[in-house]
Amino acid sequence: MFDIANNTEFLTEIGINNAPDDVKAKLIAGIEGLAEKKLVNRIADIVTDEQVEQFSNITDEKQAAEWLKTNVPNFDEIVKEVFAEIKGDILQHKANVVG
Amino acid sequence: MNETIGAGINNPSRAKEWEKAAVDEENRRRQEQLEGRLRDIEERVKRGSMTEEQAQATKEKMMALERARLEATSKAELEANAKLEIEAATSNPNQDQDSQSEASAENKVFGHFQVASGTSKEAEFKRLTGEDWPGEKYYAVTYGVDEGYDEPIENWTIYERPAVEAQQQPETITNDEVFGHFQVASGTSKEAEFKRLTGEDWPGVEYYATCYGVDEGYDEPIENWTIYKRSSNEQDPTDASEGEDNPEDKDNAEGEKDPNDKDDSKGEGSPEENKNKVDLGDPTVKKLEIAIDKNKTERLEKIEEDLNKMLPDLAELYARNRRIIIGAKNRAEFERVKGEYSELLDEALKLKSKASFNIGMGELSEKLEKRADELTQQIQAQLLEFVGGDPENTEKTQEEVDAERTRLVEEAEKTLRAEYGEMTKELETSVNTNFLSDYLEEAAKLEDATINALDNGTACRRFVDKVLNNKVLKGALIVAGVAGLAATGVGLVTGLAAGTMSVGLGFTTGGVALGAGKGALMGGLMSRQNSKNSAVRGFASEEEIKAQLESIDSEDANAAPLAKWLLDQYTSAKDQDLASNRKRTALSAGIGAAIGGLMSGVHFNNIESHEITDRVRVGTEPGKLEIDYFDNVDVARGGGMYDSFTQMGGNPEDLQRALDIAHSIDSTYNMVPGSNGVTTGFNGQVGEFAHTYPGPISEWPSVAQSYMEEVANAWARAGLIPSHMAGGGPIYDTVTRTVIKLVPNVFMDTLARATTTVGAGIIGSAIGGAGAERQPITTESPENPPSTPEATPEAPTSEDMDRKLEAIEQAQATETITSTPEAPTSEDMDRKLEAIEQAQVSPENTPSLVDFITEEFGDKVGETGIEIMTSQDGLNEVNSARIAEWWDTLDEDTKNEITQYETTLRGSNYGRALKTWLQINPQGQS
Repeated sequence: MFDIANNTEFLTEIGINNAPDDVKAKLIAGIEGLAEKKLVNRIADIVTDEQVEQFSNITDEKQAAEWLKTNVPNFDEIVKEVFAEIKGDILQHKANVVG
Repeated sequence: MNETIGAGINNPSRAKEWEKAAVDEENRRRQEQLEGRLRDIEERVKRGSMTEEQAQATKEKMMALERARLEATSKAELEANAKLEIEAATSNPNQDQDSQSEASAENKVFGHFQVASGTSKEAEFKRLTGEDWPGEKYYAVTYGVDEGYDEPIENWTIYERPAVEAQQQPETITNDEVFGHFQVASGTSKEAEFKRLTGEDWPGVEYYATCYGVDEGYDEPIENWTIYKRSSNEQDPTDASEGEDNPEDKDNAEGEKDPNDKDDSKGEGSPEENKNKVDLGDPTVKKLEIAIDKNKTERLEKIEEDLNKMLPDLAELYARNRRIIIGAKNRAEFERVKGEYSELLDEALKLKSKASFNIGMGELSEKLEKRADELTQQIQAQLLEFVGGDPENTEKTQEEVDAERTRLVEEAEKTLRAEYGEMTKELETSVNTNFLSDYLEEAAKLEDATINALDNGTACRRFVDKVLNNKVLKGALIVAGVAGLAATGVGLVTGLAAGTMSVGLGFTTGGVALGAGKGALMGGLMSRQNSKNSAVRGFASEEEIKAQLESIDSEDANAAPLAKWLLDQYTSAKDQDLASNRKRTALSAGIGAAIGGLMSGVHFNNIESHEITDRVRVGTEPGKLEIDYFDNVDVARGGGMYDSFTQMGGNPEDLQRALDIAHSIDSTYNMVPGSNGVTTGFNGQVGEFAHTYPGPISEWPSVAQSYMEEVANAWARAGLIPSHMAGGGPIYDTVTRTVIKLVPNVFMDTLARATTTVGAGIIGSAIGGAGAERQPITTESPENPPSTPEATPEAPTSEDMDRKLEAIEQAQATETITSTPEAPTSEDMDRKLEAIEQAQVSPENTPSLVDFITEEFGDKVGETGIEIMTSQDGLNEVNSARIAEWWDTLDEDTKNEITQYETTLRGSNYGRALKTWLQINPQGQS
């Protein structure tokens, strides 16, 4: 997935690095799943009919990934924003609870 | 940032004026509330539901509370004035620096500022202090967010650090490890608590503490503090002189007095046979209980319990409404709706986390207490071992025993503090993981809803379907995503400050939605509490209420066909604007209703409302709840009405008129503003339905009834109303159905435009007030339920009423179809209503009650009693005292019969009950 599991800094910051492994794994999967859905929804807003056709016909993962980076304007920025949004929500709540 | 805002608030004299105005307003409002409560007590005495003694005791308690509050306010005001004086002095460039220093024994307020979108707190802070965030000489603390505007506005206070803190206390946002938390109320000091928990003198060497907020919703403000353990490299080398207080140093120092050493020295000169008798002393390990407000914990436990119940309900409500919004092509509109739900859920999650944390703190405190006892016992055993098992006959001297005891106790206290730190970490992890779990689940639901809302065949829908259902493409998204993260170099957004990225679950929806969402949530909580209060009072047993809640499943089965019908209606709607209307109105209705329920509960429950308000206050911005709470009512009401009106083609004049009517009803009924929010909500929802119902008018009363039941069921499931109100309880059954069937034209004409009508008011108050106090209709026990038409043969039975109503309905339907093949006009409706009303109160049926009303009020409102109640002007003219006077002349049976039709009989609500009763029983005879 998005390799959050190896990002100790991120996990510490959102307060789950010390959680039991099984709980942590479940939460990481949840974060990645949410990011995936947000990302899809964001990109869906900007692709055209023709682009969907093109993308659908790609059968190789690497090519498809390359296509996304080439054809979706500011793809990297969108990814960044999606994770920032999730992290922002989490930190806001964390701040609300324990200051 | 609006310059005026920042500059104005930084002006001490203006701030003083505003604070005074706010205090005056609050006092005025409280005074009104108090008077209302006192009146209510008198009413209760009159009605016999309270003895004179009880009333007097209650009054005295209320007055005492108010006096205490006023005294506290005065004290707070004096303190605030003193602070403002200091501010004024500080802002004077000619002020002597020494005198300033003298004034700043504590952190003093330097100024305030506000932050809206387009500005940042950092920039504002820099502008006002000249320092970069988070400041050295100064620091800022937020004291609330005003959400009643177009956009949320954060309020910040800048403080000047005392010299010692400026050196030793780092910024609030720190990477230092949290050691623990504590709370400080009056009678304790932060310094003492700090010392007790860390063993260090304030402000600490190895540890330091920062305040993260003040909870002001209690009898006295409670400060929340977090203790951090300094990173080793942060410790000021100049503190070395304080090493004498360092526990490690103490250990070393005590090392010189090592009992073993003494043993050695003692061994030299002490004959083995020289045994001592020693006193082991008191080895009690000082308890490390955390200063937790037990009442607060109890309240939070209840809130958490409610929230645990509500979250699934909210999800269910969301899911149900999601079906309604599926098909909405207007993406922006969909996002708005999505935002409203997200805010509601956001608020629920926040409250839940706050509750969990505080409950955890309470548990932690108990654990520490037990642990201290265990350690004490452990030391006792160790000491016994130290003296060889017999203190009466030991080689150890008293000094040695004392030293060993001191060492063991100090060691144990150190252990206890370390365990406290560990437990705190565990608690935070637990709260965080629980929150995350809830958050991820709910946020994913919102994303799913977004996907479901995309129209089939569109590029975006096809893209989503392709990616999510195709392993290769989904994998590509992740591969590209990981690369994207690496490319942006953010390492998963390192460097973002908490709370600056987004509002709620990532959807900024503006003040209205935020405020309304909070109100709806509170409404839900209040309704639940009201329901419990009612149970306590004997209206229904706790078991009954539980049984009703548990019976929702069976109600679901009954509601399934109706739900399907509704879904078909919505999904088959060809007019997309129509779908949008429904969605919008349903939401505004729910929000309005929740708040209406909330306010009705507060109004009618009086004394209990203190408790309820206190409960709800927990977890919101310190000291802000009540103001927000009342603001929200207007926001929600305005929002609900606005939505209903504009979506149904209304114009601003209509809206203004509706609001005027709403205010008029408030003042007429002496209601807390917003009591008829429920009216707005309900009639908005039902009226919208009526307005858009495509079938013939003759069908709509029964359809609307079904629809209302469905709505009521959904509300009940969401905790907005007690479930028994949704299942066809006597009030719902009689009042709601009767009003619908009797006056469908009123619904068509006025409800369809979502104006606040008396007819809807009855429904609204019946539902909104259902959770509030309900006067026992009779003295029946739960086994012998309150009077129903079946239980009072003299009164018309349900079947009688149904027959009567069906006849009216048929007559009306026939007339409608034959005389107005096209949609009936408002004028047609008025004429029909008039005819029905006249028929209902025809001279041969004119009862004594109508005679009474006519005689009392006829010159003002016309010839019939009903007109009194159906006309807004009439309502305004009806004097509640006179109705109350009349009420006292009625016999018990008549009173009981009338009270069937109203959940609450208080003040001018006699009028509403009477009106309903007259509509159902035009003869006016019991």
